[in-house]
Amino acid sequence: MLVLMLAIPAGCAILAGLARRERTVLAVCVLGSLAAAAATVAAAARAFGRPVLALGGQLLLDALSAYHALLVVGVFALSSVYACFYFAPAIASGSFDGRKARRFGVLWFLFLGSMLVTLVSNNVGLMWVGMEATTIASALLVCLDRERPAVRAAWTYLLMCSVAIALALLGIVVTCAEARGVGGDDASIFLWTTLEGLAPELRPGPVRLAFLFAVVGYGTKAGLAPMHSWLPDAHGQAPTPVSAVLSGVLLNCALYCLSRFLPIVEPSGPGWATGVLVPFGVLSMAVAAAFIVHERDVKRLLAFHSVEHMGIITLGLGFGASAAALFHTLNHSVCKMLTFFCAGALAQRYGTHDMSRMRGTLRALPIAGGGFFAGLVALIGVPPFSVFMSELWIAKVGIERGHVAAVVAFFAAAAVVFVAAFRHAVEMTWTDPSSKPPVGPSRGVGLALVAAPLAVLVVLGLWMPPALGHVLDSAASVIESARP
Amino acid sequence: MTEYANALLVVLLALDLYMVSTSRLDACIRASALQGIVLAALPFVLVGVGAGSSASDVLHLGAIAAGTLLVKSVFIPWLLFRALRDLGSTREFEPFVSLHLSQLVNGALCGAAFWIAAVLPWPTAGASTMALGVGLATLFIGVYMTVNRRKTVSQVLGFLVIESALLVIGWTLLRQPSLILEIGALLDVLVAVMVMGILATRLEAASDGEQPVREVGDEP
Repeated sequence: MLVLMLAIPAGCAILAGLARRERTVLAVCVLGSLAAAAATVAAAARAFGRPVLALGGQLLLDALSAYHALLVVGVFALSSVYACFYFAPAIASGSFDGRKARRFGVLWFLFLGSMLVTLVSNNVGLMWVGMEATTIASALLVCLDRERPAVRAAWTYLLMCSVAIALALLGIVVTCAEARGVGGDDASIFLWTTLEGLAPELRPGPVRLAFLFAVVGYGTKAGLAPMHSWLPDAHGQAPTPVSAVLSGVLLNCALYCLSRFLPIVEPSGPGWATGVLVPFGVLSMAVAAAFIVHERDVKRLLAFHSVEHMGIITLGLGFGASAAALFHTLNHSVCKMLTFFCAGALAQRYGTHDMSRMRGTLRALPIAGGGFFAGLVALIGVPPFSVFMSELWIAKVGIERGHVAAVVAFFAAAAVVFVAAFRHAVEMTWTDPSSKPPVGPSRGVGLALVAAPLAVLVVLGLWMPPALGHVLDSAASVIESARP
Repeated sequence: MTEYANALLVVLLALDLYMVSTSRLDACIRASALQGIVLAALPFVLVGVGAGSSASDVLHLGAIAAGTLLVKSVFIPWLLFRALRDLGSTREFEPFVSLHLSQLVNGALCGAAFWIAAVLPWPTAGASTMALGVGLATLFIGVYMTVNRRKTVSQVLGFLVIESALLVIGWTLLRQPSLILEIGALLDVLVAVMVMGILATRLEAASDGEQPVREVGDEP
């Protein structure tokens, strides 16, 4: 089943490369990501009970990776559907021809496949290889339109993340060498299950050193400040379906890799590793808040929101509130996907990313305008949306565990973001356009693509389904297995 | 074995210092190819192939050495020379910090690297401080090179220096071949450099399309 999860994206990449017409490619994207989603759901259903191993232990699907894999395939499936809306004007005008579509389709599935490889690897080396592969595939997606700013953004992204990820590999090497030092045998020291089993015996010095390398490496990829500088450009310049995936799930995957390190390093002295994460979380929130106030590009605004929310999730992990952090991961992914879909449609209609020139969005495109307002309001933590609930949960645990200063900084940054983003949202939605109404080609965005994520956000804000609660608990227990 | 290992490490460090202090990009690419040869030889010396080693170990080492040689000394230099020809310039004219000053900075970085290598809590007992020091120095020099230079090809070369550092530290600490990690990492590096080459040429050729939204402060 795990092999099937990886084989479907690989097969679809080939199919997309063989398709002749651009519409066929998009159809392959939608059907292929639905197939990958079906395979993942089937595999995950078993993994929540008991971890599933495959390929002689090289692949592992446990509750934590299954949870993230479900998010990945969900966001990919909806983004594939949105890609049909997004590229429709370009198809009509001929600028999205068969060649470009094939390039998009192949890279799209390579991106999906490399993310799934990262998530289902038990071999930490393979996990790293997958993570680096996501960078390569997505950098090419960022500059699908070969305009100079997009290529420049892709270049910065590729270079920064490749260099940073190299440091994460150093962390992996140090961990594995230490595992062999305490008696792991040569064949298995790269397996996460082995490392986790040996964790109580590892000496604190080396594993902490390894963890610091991993934080810098994977933290860069997750967009944590101060290593976030690639992120706004890459998210802003990418085609919008790609932005949605980058922001919605790629950043999660980097934090997933980091959270895999926690059970290895925590036994060396509870609270040390999580204590390292807290300052990164606070700094990310503060930096994002400062930039959100002055941002005018709508997609860059959402990108800085990603930095903020990655900061919140990191804080959640740092407070030891793993279940809350995972819940926030879900909420952020759903919400960010929704806002990017709507922002993409609006940007096409107005022919600009400049928010000061997007006025009266509710009248211009009721579904996308309304969806963007609701999404942004949810994103900044207004009740009853679920983002508010998970933020509150994280803050509550933070106070219980005595991280009062960090929680105060959390609320201060969140308040700044709230005011700044709320102003943007209101101005865009209701201010009357001073100039002529926009006429740019846009198919808008399907009602279902807006309604479904919004419904998820509202329902989860009001009611936590017992099944989801169980899933969160079992995924969190993977991260917290070491804690007494 | 140690004296051979040390000799190789000194060559590696000398190549680093040469790359960071020359402005000629073609010479840099050749130095990077030479580093590939050194790195291919290093595992044999560090892990040691003798009467006691099994046939499969030798085979693994041989495969990894061949892969390293092929990727780092043949494919990547070839790609970079092609990119250089397409870009039509062979000199790094405008690093942020001048190359003379860079030599001083890199001397200091090397000193720092050896000191850090001596004090960090490394996992492998008996790992040579010399090897770790050279590895860290290479890492620092690679990062410095990537950050300091403006030309895309120079930045790729900096990235390659960082990869070399990883190989040195990896071999020193692990002393065993792990096929998945090695081959995967090599493939990743190869593809990354290919993509970097594509992006670099596109960056030169790209049409100046829609400008990004300016910051508020830039308003006329």
